[in-house]
Amino acid sequence: MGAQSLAAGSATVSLLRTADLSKSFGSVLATDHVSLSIEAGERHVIIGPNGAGKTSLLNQIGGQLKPTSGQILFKKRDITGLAPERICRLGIGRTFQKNNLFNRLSVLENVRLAVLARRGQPWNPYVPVTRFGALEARTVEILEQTELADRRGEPVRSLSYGEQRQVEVAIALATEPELLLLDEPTAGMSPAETAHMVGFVAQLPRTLTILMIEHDMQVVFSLADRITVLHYGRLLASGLPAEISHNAEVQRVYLGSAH
Amino acid sequence: MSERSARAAAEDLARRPLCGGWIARVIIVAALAVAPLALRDYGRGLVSEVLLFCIFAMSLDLLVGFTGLISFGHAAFFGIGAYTVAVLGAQFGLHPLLGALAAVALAGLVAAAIGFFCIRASGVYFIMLTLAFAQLLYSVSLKWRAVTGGSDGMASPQLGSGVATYYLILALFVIVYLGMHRLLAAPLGQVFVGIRENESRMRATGYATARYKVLAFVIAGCVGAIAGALFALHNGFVSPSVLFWALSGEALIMVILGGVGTLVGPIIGAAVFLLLKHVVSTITSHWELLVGATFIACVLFFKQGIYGWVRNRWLPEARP
Repeated sequence: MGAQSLAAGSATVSLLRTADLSKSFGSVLATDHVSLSIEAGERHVIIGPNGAGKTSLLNQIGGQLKPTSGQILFKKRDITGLAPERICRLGIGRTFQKNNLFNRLSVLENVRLAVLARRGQPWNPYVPVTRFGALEARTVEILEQTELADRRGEPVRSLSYGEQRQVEVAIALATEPELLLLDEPTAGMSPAETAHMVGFVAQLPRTLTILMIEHDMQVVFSLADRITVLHYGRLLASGLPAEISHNAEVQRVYLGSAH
Repeated sequence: MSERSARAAAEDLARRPLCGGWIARVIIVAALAVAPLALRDYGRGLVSEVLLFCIFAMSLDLLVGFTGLISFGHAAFFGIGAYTVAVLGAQFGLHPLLGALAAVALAGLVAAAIGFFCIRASGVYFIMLTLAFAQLLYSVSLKWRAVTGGSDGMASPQLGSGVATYYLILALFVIVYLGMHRLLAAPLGQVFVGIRENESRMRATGYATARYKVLAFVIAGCVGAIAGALFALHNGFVSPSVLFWALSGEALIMVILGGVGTLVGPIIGAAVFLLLKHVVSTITSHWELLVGATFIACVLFFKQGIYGWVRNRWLPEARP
């Protein structure tokens, strides 16, 4: 399915491109001259062993880390080293590997903050936030879409781990991104929760481009249009799932007998 | 659930627990309004002082409790408020109420400047920077003798009577409380709380948190200057102690004692602190020992302060 849509769209413009992107921590190259392109609408999955630099790469795209050298282009615009809030406002939303939420606030308040950033009047110092009908309605819409509506009043910290992962995604979606970065959305989830998350990601509209990091090979191969393999910060291979699973070098360093 | 009913339910939830609380608040303000009839000068002066420090503690809690910025230099704004009223009165004969307006404006500007630098740091460095800026102003008040009178201090213009000052302070106390209450329920207040809870997520969600933090600094600075200006009016005398780090520390103690991250907490904290100071100090000169013990007990056993403890025990439904 993914292969067909990519073949049909041979003239597609890359939504996101990294060129020779590098990030060093002291003498360690977490990202080693990675050049990668993500096409509009695709589901692109990054895999690689622990310490391969997957999250570092995502953090540079999201602005949480400043690259040492190289470039990141989003819709042909240079976003290298911009602040995370600028990058978010340009249309890149993200989730985090470890739940990174507003723990003492309710589910509704968590998502509402994100909607407020995008559509509300965050500087308004006087009108109670509950009086903005459109804000509240949009928040409830996202809560329903992410199946969190009946948990809306609960403080996030009292939710199950899997539900907190859903809030992660809900906040990211509420920023209305064109490119969604998902950092191991199913990490720590039960098999049932994982299946649920995969179903959820699969039904997201193709107007949304997704770049995700994932460890679970079943999840990877059920969602990916294209796969990129990182190894010690280097891009080892990038291509269609079938190409990746038959790539000898990838098999040697990573997939091994797992696939 | 339909949109409308969801919204109504949310509003209901926000309103209901407060009803009982609002009745209590009205009764307290009414009691404060008639208090001067029953109190002698000393008692009225004491309540005036408590109320103006309530304003000061609330303003600090906007930074510490709601935005998560632990400022150890809040005396800077109290001092700016007090000295502006005193200096403008002494040098230009400016009416103290106009002086208070000028004080708030000046404090806002200084807060923007201090905030701009301080928010670049975080953690202990932030705390130290706020302290350093406040101590800088303290030494200015000490050295600029021609204007401030140095360590001798200076007289401040006052209103015609202590009763008038009392009602001015009470009115501003109510206005500041209601204004802060409104602010915290509004989008801006929610953004402040979001920064307190998780700044990096706020940034990843599209908020330029630096600007919001400077704004929190400016609002807290302006309100803190109101308290300082009222202090000059109330006290009739201003000395460098209004800029000294000990005052910043006392304000932090008030906030933590009463309950960080609530509006009622700093009010209770300021009241308890000053009553200990004034009442216990008539019995023993070691009143600070008692304050210290109370503070340690709060930090160790009632982490949410006096109000947090009361709320958890008797008012489980109440919100700040």
